Amino acid sequence: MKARLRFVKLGEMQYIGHLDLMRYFQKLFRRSGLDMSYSKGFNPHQIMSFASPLGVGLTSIGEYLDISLESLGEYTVNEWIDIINAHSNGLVLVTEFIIIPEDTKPSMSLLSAASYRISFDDKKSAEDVEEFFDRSETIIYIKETKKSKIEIDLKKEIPVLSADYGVFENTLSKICIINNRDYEKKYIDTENKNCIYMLCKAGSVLNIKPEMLFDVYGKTMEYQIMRLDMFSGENNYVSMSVG
Amino acid sequence: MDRKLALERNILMSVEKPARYIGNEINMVKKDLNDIDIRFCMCFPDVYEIGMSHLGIQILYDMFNKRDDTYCERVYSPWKDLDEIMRRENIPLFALESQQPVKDFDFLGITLQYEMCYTNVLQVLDLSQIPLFADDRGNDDPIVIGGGPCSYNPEPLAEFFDIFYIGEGETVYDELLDLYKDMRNKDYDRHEFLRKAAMIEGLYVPSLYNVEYDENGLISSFEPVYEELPHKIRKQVATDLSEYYPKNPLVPYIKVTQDRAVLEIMRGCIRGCRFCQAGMIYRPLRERDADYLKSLAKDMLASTGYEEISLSSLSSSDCSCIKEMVYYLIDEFSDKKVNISLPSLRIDAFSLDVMSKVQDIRKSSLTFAPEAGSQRMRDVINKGLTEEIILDGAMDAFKSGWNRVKLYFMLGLPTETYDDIEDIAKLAESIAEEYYTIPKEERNGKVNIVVSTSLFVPKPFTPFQWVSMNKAEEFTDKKGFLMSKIKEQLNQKSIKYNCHDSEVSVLEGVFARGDRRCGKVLYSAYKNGCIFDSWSEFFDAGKWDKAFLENDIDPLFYTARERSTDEILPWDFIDIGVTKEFLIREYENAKKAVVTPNCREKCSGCGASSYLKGGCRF
Repeated sequence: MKARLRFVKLGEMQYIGHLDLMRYFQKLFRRSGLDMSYSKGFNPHQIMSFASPLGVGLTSIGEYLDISLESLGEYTVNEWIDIINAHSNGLVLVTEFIIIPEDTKPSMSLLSAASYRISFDDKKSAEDVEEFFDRSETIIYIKETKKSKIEIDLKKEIPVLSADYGVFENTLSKICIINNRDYEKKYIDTENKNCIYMLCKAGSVLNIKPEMLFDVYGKTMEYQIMRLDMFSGENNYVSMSVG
Repeated sequence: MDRKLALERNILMSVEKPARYIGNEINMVKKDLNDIDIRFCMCFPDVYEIGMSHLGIQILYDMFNKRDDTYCERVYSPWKDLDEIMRRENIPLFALESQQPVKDFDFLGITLQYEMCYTNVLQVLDLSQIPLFADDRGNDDPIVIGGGPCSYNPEPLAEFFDIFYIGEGETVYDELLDLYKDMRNKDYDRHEFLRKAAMIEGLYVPSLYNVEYDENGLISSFEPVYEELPHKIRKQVATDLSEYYPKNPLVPYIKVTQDRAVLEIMRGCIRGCRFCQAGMIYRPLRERDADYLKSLAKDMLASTGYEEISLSSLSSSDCSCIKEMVYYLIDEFSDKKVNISLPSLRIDAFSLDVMSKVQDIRKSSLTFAPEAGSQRMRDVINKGLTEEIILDGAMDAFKSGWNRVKLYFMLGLPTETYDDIEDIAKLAESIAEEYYTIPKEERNGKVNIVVSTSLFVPKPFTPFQWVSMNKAEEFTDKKGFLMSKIKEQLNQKSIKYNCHDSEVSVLEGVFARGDRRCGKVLYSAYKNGCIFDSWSEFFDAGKWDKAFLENDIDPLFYTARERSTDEILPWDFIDIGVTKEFLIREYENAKKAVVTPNCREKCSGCGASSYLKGGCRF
């Protein structure tokens, strides 16, 4: 059976890279006693895939992990959440555990957008970035690959950006089906004025990262990025935790 | 839950692998500092991935933290990138658990696993802002203790340590910590504490012993400065190996060298290879009980989530419970997808059967350690392995589908001739030819043989502690000669040759058998910028040459000079149980190429049985 897990990655876990996080989950599931499915062959590994790797230095309250299970054993998914978290380090915590149909596409291929919160040292930086975003007609980011240079207009690729959480949530709710479990209210101070919030288009072809905006903006600033959630669907985005 | 990290985010984001410095790994011990009397920081003076792979620290970490009054934390050498930042910004080195400065601890225990980490010892002290020389430390500085195999000749490090713990950590640390706690509660005086500590069996306080030299630079006397102090320091041996073992070892976030659960099945070795220090200093042989090991394996895998478990010892095939343990692990855990790794297993029918069950034959290689190419040379070093055993083992393996073989040898062994070296190439060729006797349709492609040579470094407490070590030029010649002989073989295309660096080995030779005067060289080398000497990308022979010149010390005095058996050796004040008479006897046997039977075949009266009531049991 297949399952989709939502999890948070907090605090100093930001220094743990994607591959190490994968290894962390493998050991976590083994400690928890979850009956994972393994690939065949001489070096069997647990079958798991992440919706989108999270870079070093980023925290998140909206990560998704697809796993394959042999069975749930004697526990319910909610009981498994508690068991897994009891075996974790308090900074990587599973918050949702949903059994999904066998034919569900991997979350990685469904991903179409992700929301972020960027916190700065002061209120002014947040307002400056918002002002820069609002006033620019186009924001051209040049993505260099080994073979080519692609111009990306971030204005089109970042559908929502605001320094005010209320405004952000409101705008988001018009174009997205958002998760109603109030992760933000639980894990972050939404009254903090030193932040901006944004929704970036995402996916395997073109993945927009918040850093791209600061790259174009040009001023060197200290900031910390937290991913808030991930979405699927075109035009009308649906939080991966809904559905 | 919110620990404040010692390093700011911008620093962590600017260094390679920041996870080396954040701690909080699974099974990390957390304690409230308000309930703690003694803060002990355990250090492995190399990078995190190496240090975290070391079993000894895991055992001691568990042991210390069983005491309610003690909090044992860890520190490793910051990698070069962070080292530079910490010096520039004057950030004191910190322990991973509390993220607090090491200089505020009561004890700093440094494990000394290889000589080439010595400059890193100074790095750790320096970055911790602890005076490098023990004489310069005051009541508020931590007590710096050294332990591990290199402390069997601690003299080159004598000036930098307050205490050396000689032997296995499980025995007298409680006594030391109790003494410290008692004295800390009164008018604490560092010198008084060290003087009392020096009365505990197994503890050596170098500042309380004086060394004098004669006109030839040889040691003329080695005496304690107070009458009550022991003249000999007795190695500590844990006689009960079921007392301490970590059921819940630390699980690092990043991939480390030993990325698996490690089960130490026995200590000591029955073989008596004459070049091997471990084979002597870990005597007498003690095996762990199979039922105890099984329950440990279960607990460790459950608490860590590791997907691999390794059975560790100096020579696992000699462990009486090895078959029982291996088949238990296969039966119990293979459906749970747990890999079993078996280093130091001799190639025979049993090991081939096990390996074919736990490994992918096509991807794995077989390892033989003949250590020498000719039978004469193998007899000199008492390596009881014949060409026949090697070829038969290889043939069995080839028939089971293996086609990769690794061969380990040493160059520069005592009495070695160029004929002995040529035999290394011939042995590799014989193995290749053995492979091609198998009909083509039954073979698994081409055979692939890797010959590796390390360079022989004579070590204290071995029958070769008196011999002359080869010079760098001799090693270089021998490596070149072996390479040319391999090239002459019929199957030379199937044989690859790797070798160690001559200069590093020679330096290792200086510190292995060095005396107190070598400390100055170490200090100069560190001041010249030497650090991470065991990493070829950082090793700088030129800086070391300069350090020897600055101190007017000739490295050849320590390496190439053959000692007489009545010379006072720098480490003679240590009693490891194995007697000097036995070592001399073995040295004589080596010169005559006479083999000594292993402990199970016949007791040779080495002296180590004095540790066990009723003697060794086999």
